[in-house]
Amino acid sequence: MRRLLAIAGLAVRASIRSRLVVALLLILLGVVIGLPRTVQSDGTPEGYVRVVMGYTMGLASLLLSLTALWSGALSIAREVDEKQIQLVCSKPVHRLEIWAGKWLGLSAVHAVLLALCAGATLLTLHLNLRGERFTDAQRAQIHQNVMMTRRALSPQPVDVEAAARAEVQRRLQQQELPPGLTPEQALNNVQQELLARAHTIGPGEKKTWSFAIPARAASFTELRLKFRFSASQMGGVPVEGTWLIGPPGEPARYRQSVTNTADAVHFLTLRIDQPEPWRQFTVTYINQHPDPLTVFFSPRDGLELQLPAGSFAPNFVRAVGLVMIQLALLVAIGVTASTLFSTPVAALMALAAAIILRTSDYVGSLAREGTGLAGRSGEATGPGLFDAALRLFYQTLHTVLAPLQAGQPLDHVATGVWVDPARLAQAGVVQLLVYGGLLALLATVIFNRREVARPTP
Amino acid sequence: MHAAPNHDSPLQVENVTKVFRDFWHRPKVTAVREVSFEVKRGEVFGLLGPNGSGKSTIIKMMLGLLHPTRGHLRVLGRSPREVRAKARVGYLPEESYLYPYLTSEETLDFYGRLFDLNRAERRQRIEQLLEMIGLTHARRRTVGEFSKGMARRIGLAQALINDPDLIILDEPTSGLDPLGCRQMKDLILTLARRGKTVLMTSHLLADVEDVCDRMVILYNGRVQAAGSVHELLEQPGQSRIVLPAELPPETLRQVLASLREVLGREPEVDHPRKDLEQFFLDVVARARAESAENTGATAGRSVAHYLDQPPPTPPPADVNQALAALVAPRPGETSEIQNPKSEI
Repeated sequence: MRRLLAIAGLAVRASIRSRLVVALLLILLGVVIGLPRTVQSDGTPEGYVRVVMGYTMGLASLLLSLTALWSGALSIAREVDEKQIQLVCSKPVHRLEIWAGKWLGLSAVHAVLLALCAGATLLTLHLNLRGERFTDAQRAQIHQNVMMTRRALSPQPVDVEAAARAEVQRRLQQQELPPGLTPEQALNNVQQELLARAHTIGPGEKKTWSFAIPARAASFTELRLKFRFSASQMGGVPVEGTWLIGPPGEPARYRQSVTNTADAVHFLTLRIDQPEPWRQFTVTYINQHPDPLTVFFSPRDGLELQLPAGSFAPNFVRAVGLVMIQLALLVAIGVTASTLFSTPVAALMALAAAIILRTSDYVGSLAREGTGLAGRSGEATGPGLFDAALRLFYQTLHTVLAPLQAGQPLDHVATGVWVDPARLAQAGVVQLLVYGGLLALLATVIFNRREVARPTP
Repeated sequence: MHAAPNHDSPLQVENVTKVFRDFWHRPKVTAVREVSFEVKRGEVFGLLGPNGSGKSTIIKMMLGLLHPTRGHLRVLGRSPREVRAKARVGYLPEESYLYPYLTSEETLDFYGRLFDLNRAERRQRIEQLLEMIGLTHARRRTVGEFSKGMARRIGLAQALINDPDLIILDEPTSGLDPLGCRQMKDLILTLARRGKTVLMTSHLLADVEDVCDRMVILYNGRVQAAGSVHELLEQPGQSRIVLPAELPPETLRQVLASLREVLGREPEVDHPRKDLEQFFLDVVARARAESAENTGATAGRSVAHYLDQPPPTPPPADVNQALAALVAPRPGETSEIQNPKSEI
């Protein structure tokens, strides 16, 4: 442990004395303090909080992500280039201790910088909320919509798989499928089509969603629906409709006619006395727009139920914790690259790994749908060998990347969405223990075989 | 076949070849070819050779920093790649590969922690080492600000912080002024007297001659000559007589006449000169005595206290062994008791 801490301490000293920390701290504080003064919000009180949280902490975490990768990628590679590693490796130090020491030291530096940014952000927010910038009513609005965090629940998914399979079967028999499409691609296309149709509400039509509130949400006195829809008429048109909400099989307890602008986020808040009847309920939207107009609620985030779940500060801390875990993973990727490659190659490889990590959504869609390279000429009737191989590659990559999906926790905090502590624990286990451990193992095996004193060309 | 661990040989090198390959794994340079030698416990062993002869490559293989292409090495009875083998080894690289942003004190503390020394022990040893290398006054200066000689001294101190049994010094006098060179050589001899095994490389012949008991000479990666310094440098069939300057001229003439008669030819006569190193050291010593002012590193203690402990001697089995142990000269002592006049 003493050796590991010595190497970690060295990494911290190197960061401080190379003035990386000072330069980064100045830039970060400039971002955190200066940006909210320069960026225009949407004019709403909540918008201001979103700017402070989303823009400043978002930009700060992006900068820290880059330096985490960069400093990790330089850590060991530069010592190999400058030959200090020869002296370290001539001491009774295991190569794993060198990897872990560098990782620990650089992670600690980034944790401190992130904590300072978070502290400065909270202070900025606190001072602005107390000052003359907002009226009491606006402060109450911010408290209601942002500072009180809410757990987000999605409606129960619409099952279209059986219908999609039947439809694909029918189209195959009728030879209506486009040439070159694999059965999986055809099924996926039809599923998307049916799902979109299920969330489209024509003039005078209605659509019903079901919600189930989990037992762990013990008591609540308010339900808030967050919704956003698109309209067939472009240009943010106000759309008239009615919401009917209540337990299934009963007459609606709440009925509210609304006029909402398309392509904007809206909220509908219901006060309730007893939570029990609301464990299961349905939400129905009736399109009552006078002109013929169709509305579409995205199956992904068109409608969301929000339950009060706690105060702002712990939620913010959890979100910062999630960002810290991401930074520690990026440091691990950088240090691993650093054990394998020389300085410029290590930096490039680490950057490539980070980009792949960021594009995991796209990788996921490629894994599901293939690359679409086969059958473009219209001659092939099945998937090409190259496409199949690529798809297998993307599926493998997706399997590796899927557990690393962390979302945008700071955006959640900025919009008052609850960050689940279980998610923080899961990210800690998966990203730090499992993936960090695998990276450490890989780095140690290869670093052990590496000759650190090879003459440089 | 692996070399069997020999506890009297802290270093064993057996048929070692090192081929450097390029990115495509094609052989590029053969730096070391079929080299074998052993270093005995308590001796000062020299690896001598011109630049590029493979000395540093052999040392780096001994430390596990490079891996032999063929052959085997054993360091203190273990493979050099074993972490445990390195706990009792001190290494001074050819250049001081130190962290320029650490101070002298932090540098020694860092390497002390790598040897798992506790805080109190590190503090004590750092004090003694800084005093030994004469850099106590520069303890809070960063190594990056140091001259090459000062950085070399810190490099030496880090090599000794673990009180090693085996000390590997790659070009130890490189970058040092003559005074520093003399101190380094005295230190090597002192360490050897204290039972440490020292392996050093040099391309400076005088360094090796002054301190080494045995040596190998390398050229183009091969061993060209090996043996004790005395054996290798002896010129059979020739003797030198050194006469004191106060000898009366008449006596000198008689001696020469006798020699002329015995040899049947004129004997060679010249006047011995001091070597330049000794002359320089005398000048510096005089200047120091005259002026209290010093520049750069100052000379400290000759050796740190913790390094100045006599080697543990196993209890002799019987009286005869005990007597033999008392009268036997210790390795390294021969260079101290030699007196020019005894060569007559």
